[in-house]
Amino acid sequence: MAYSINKDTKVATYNGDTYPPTQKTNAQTGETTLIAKSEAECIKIKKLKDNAPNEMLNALRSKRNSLLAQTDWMGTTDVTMSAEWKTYRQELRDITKTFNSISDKDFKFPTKPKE
Amino acid sequence: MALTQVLTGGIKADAVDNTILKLDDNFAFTGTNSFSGGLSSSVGQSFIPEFISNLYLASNTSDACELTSCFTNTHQVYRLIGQVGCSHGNEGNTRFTFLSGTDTELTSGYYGANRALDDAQTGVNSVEADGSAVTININQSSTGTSIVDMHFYRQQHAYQLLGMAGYHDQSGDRGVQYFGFKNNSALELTGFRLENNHGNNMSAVNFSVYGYRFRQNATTEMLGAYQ
Repeated sequence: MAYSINKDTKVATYNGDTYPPTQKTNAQTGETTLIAKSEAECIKIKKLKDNAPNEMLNALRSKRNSLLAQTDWMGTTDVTMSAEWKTYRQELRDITKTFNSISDKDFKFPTKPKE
Repeated sequence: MALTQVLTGGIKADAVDNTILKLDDNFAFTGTNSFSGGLSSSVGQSFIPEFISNLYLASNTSDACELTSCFTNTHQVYRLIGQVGCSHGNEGNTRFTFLSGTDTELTSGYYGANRALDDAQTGVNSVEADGSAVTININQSSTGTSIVDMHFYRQQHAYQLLGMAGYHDQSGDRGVQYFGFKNNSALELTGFRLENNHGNNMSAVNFSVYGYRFRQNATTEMLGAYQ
């Protein structure tokens, strides 16, 4: 596991990836310094980076689920759901087949049918 | 009322008993005040914030920034307010953690909840039970910063952070988020750290910290000496 710090820029390198220094400001003196990331911090940030796709997919799912929840009442036995609403809800369920994040290019939730 | 100009020459030796205006010194009058009573300090008597410091991080220069030594025993309640960027690469969240002692990050013991809703009626609720950080803004697009406004109640063993944020996500929806977190740490908290949850560089951070001298009665006073 290779870990090194550029003494001039304070940029840390860990396993070939670079990590910018943390900017630290002292409220009492106003002094701002750049602190190189420790090896442990690099490992932590690597985990955050590796987990980012999961986080973004989960954020998409959370938003999608909140939209589904708004029309769950249409699925009760004493209500007949129209084909348009069935299609809309299915498109919501399927959106993760097309997109991994709402940051993806052309991402858009399906348009709600008119009530 | 018209102002009257008093010529220096006329007041230089304007002796009234033993009072004289001494322009050569750094004080104006010598002698004894003849009025009764006196001036009392208003410090701590009202809930007026005092500016402590600013935290600024230029956009896309680091994934994390810290403001140290901003929480002291002088103030018991803090308002932290300003613009906070998220991931400069894509939509993300901002993680907030406290610092203690020699700027050691407190990475456990955060309990609380987050609730957000945007104009597309999509909402996110999340909780942390012994979490490693507080999420102070969510789903913020890469191109902008969100406004975060929160209060920190600095009571040892019962630290609390209550706040709200406005955000604008990557697909153009805008919303508001509320959060409340508690940490029962026995450590004395002295600062805080902001970092992006994806490990990416952050958009710009421009955050100010204000302190309040907060006084309660003797049995429930918060940590810190009242001044």
